[in-house]
Amino acid sequence: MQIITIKNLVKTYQSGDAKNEVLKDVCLEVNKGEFIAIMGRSGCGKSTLLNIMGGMDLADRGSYLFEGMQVSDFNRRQLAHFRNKKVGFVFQAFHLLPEFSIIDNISLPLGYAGAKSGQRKKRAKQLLEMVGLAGRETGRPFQLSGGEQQRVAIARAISNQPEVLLADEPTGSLDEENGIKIMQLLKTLNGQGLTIIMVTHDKKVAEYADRIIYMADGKI
Amino acid sequence: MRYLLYRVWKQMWNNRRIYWLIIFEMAVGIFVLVTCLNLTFTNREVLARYRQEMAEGMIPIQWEVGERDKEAEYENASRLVIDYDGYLQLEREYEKELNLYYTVVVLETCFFEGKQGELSTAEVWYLFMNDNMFEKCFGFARENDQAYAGRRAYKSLSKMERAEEGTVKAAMRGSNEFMARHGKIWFSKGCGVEYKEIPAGEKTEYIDRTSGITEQILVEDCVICPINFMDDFNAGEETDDVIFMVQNKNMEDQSSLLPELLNKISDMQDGRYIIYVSDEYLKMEKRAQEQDNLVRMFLAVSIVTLAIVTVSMIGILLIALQKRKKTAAVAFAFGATEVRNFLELFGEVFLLFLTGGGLGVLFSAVAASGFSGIATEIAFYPICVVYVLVFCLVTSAGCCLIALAGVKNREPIKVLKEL
Repeated sequence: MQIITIKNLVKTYQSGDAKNEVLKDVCLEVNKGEFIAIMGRSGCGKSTLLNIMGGMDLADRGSYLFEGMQVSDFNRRQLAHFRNKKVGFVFQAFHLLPEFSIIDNISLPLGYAGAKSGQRKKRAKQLLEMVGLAGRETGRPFQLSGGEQQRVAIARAISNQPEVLLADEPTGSLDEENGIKIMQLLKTLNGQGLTIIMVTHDKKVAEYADRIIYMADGKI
Repeated sequence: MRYLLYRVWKQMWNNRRIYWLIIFEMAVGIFVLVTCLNLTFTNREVLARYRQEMAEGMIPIQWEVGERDKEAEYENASRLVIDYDGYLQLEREYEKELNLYYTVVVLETCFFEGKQGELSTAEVWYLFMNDNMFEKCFGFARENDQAYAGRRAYKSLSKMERAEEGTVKAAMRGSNEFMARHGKIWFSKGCGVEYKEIPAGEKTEYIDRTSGITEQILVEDCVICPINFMDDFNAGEETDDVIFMVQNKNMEDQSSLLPELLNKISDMQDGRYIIYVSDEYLKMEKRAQEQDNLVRMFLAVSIVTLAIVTVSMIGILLIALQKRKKTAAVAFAFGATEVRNFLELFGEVFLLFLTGGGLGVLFSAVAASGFSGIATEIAFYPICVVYVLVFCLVTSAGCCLIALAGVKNREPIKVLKEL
């Protein structure tokens, strides 16, 4: 069953007079529960594709269907709801918010979804336990190691039980040992039915995926 | 909404060290501003009340000589201060705005020779009254060119009528000038006015003399003549006094013409007299003017303080937003709209200003009873709460918009890429 259907997606960035076509007629189909790795050189358009799939950016042309809904036609509010409910992001630099506690970081998407304080705390504790960081609720992100921070970031990404997890170089800032732990965690989540689309440079990391897609010069 | 408030509170708590200062400055600025507003409103209300009283009642205008010598004052007070020509000039100038009440008072002593040649006397007050004053005193309009006499004065006039020519003797200068003959009082050759007794049930028993000396004249001793007979009144005659009162014609009119009127009267007298109104109103207005200068100064202080708070807040926000680019971008990635992010920022600043403003209003409400305005202690006006609320809303929104405009490259994708 297809969860994502992308057809002839085009994205161009303009810098002054120069136009840079980052995505050129990209077509992609992702099945529910699939683990996909997207590989390619820097600047080939992997992250742009991931951003468009995550509703962070919009394509200039083409069609992007998510569970049969045309995401390209969403307004800002619908896009925000889409980012909150349907997808979860994991970033290379974790992007945890230092001014908030670990539990507040995890429950961020829940808060925007309108969950009550009690529900948020309960869910965040469950997720912390799941990623092996039970008892670290009140700590701050800077008190954690890189691997722990990425685990918190994953917990945050899945807190709202999204359909798809989008991971942009999730092990890029980690050592090998922590990288393996993170990939094992992602594999576990995939085993529980979560669709994962991951961008990576690392072939070893890509091997965890069911399917590897290569991108070059804006094309798949 | 709860989560929005939660995030706002978290951000405020994270920045509490600098925000205490903003709250303190805001509280001081608002305290001064609201106190000034309360003082201004209180003074306005007091003045409006006095104006209303002035509009509803007659305001006696009094005068005294420059040197406060009681004897000299008494002597000089018996002189005509606003003479008939002056009155006519004032009437012409203020007939649209003011009702003028004017009376010239002349005391006459009448001497009558009895059958055995003995002399008896009677004091008669001749009052040259304008129509306004007459109607106000007696409650009915005077017939044209009709003079009225009180009971005792009427008897005296009748005695004069009955006396043979020459039997009424002038024992002193100025007495018996106004002779009664053929049903008329004669002021000069060719100028006489018919008189009749004041009808029973007249409104007043006496007339207050308001200038220089305070004294009441019994109406039964008075002959009341139309003011226009002053035209033929011998200019050399001594007059005792003038009674002069004013009243606003339009009761809705809150503007006061009194200061202008007093200046005019003072000019007529070449500064010989100190003219004043026996009403608290002018005193209040003068004190209000003095306080206005003070209020203006403090208002300027409060405005400068609030401007400093606003500019400081914009500066703090500029730094905070630069730091919070990541927070906004991450929030965007997990479902926040740009509007939501703005609302979080706005909520933070608004709550901050509201806390400071609320404290300022509270201090002002508590301190209001400790200050006094022109007449009473300052009242607290709840409308100030609305003003402060609107001020906080507008300045918060302004601060946020200006600070947001000052932060470049806020697009979430770019921010997340750069970090």
